[in-house]
Amino acid sequence: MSALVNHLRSEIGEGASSIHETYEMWRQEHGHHHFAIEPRRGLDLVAEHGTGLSLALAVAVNEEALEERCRKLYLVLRDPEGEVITLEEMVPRGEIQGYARWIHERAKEAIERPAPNPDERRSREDRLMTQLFPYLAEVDERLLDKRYEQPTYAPFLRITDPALEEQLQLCLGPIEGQPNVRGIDPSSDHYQKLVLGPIHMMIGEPSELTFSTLGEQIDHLSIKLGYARRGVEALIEAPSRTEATSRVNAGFTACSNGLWIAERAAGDIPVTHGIAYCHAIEAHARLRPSDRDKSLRMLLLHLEQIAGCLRDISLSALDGTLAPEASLLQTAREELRVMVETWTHSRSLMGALCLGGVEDHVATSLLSHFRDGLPKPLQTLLDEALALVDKLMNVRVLHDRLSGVGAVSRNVCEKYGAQGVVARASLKGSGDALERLKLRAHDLRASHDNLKTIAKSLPKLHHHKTRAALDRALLEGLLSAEPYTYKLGSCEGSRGEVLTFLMLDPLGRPFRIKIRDPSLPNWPVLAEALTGRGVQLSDFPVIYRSFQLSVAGHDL
Amino acid sequence: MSAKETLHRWFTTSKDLSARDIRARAGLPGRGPPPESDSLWLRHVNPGSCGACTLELTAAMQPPFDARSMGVDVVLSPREADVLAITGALGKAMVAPVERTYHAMPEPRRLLLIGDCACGRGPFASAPCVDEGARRALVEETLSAGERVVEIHGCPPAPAKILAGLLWPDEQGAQANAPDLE
Repeated sequence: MSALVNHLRSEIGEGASSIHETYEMWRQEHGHHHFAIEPRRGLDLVAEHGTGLSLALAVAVNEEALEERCRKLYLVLRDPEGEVITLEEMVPRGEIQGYARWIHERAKEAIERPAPNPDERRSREDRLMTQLFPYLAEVDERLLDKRYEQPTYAPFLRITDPALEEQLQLCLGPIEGQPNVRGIDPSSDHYQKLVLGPIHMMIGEPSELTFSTLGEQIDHLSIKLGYARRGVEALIEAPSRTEATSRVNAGFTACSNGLWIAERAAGDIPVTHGIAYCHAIEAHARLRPSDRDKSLRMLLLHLEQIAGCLRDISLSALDGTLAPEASLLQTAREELRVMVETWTHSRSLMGALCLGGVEDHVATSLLSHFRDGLPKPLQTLLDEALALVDKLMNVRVLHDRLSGVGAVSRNVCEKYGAQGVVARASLKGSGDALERLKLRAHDLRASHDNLKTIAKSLPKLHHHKTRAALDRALLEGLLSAEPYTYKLGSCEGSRGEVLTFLMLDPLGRPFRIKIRDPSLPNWPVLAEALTGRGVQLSDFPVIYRSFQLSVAGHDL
Repeated sequence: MSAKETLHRWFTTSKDLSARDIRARAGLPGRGPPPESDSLWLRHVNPGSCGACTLELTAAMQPPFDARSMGVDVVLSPREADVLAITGALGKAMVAPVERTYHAMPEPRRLLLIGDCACGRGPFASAPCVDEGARRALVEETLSAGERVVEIHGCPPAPAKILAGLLWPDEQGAQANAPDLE
């Protein structure tokens, strides 16, 4: 379509007498029969209201990927000074019939806006993506557009476009044959490449890391992700691409099913992903969870954070050769998960949330266990773990091992929009692995304190809705939700902030979703932390673990 | 906590979880026969897991379960492995690396499928980027060689269940050695 618009823009710029004739010629040449020129009623309306813009063409296009539920409307306008403006908008199919009002509104907006720059010519969705996924946008915005066309598309895996390859290499690695700007001679006998992955014990999840090393010193790290693509987003969107059996229940069923999948986007932080997804749905349905359910969600979030902190600190202790302490912390984590299983029927807290609140059996169980403050076994476990962590933080060998390793500056974090402890450590201090460990210890203590506060306030909190009433409110909310508009859900969890973008279709089913895992912006920060800083190869496992990276949460 | 206390607790908690405790936690009845004296070395592959099953496998290897004390270990190379342990759905991009890993193992090759996704169930069984055919081919190849395929269901399965599947595969009932290929 952009080829057509470019073609039209050039034609208008040259002062073509009949834009319709030009379009017809173009269509016959290229054989695109599914485009249609809408009647010219809109032209008069725009002229009537004295916008100063003349409408050269309005084209409504059926996009195959959108399955005729939504159309992209292209407007080619010319302002009094002869500047050609192209506007693109996605509109629901039903509404396109009365598009004259829509054109008028958009034309007014176009006048009020300053001269369009390339960013503004992008569709609204792409602009949002660019703002939220700066790293992805930098790599290639085309990746976002082609998600539906190629279900097996693994953008970082199979690259056929040489221009894109070059762009990727600029971001992620050296270009063959280019001089090395870091003063290291790549032709040296000791300069070599070491490839880890996609299956390797050290990296755990499928990804490919290519180290360019000079002896033991890492010169460059190139990262390829995309091996773990499962199609999380496509699965959540799948119901909207089928015919609904029941128009009343379709939205409710699809959204509830979506929560089941969203919780499994990343297995180490299911509550964070689940809450972010619930927020987005609840924003659409204009549903507010009760105070009690909000507190229970926070409680679950802190339980998840404690498990995450215990694991991370345990791994750091292992890096510092403190195996007994690491084992103790791991044992504490296992005890916590057994406790959590007795309270919520799930060791990993999957299935504890529901849209609009928390599952009834989980709420009842948590309320009874946390009625008189923290349950005694949990209190004992946390006291022992905190005492051990305090001791660990004073062990000299651990300080020596982690201090100054994998330091990341604030500028780098800001450049990539880093998340979680990586960003916080760079703001707070030196940004090295020791600082990140200290922050995890701080998180553990903070979660303990917050759990106590929540437990104290739980009995006083009000909850007036039964599950049936909640479901009814959600069902009605989803049916009356505004279709094809975005809502943002967010939740800050153990690894950083999870963002969920969600667009519903007219039946209230998830139509488009984009989940941003906090690890996504942290991957290039890892590459930056290792590149050209004289980092020893033997330090890599320590740095890698301290970054808490995950490839599962974002479906590249 | 003094260093002595720390070590004492370590030995009493991590080494104390007997086979009976693991059976109880995995929901297996009574005391079964002791595990075979042969050790089992796993090569773990994660071809597209959300990470939950991987965490549970890691937990099974570490205290308090400490699978190493029972002869079960995760090894670095497929050339040393008896069992290929798979967590997560088999994404299309990972089919070739997983097959290479499988065929790099010395015969007899056994397969341990951990979690619903690896067993071809769960939310991602019908995902467009998951190659269910390749997973079934791997299972069929193992079965046709007369070797064992153990499926451990759950989303995610608990560490005790994973260990029980390894140590007492016949007692996993219909889950063990009889995957539904229909």
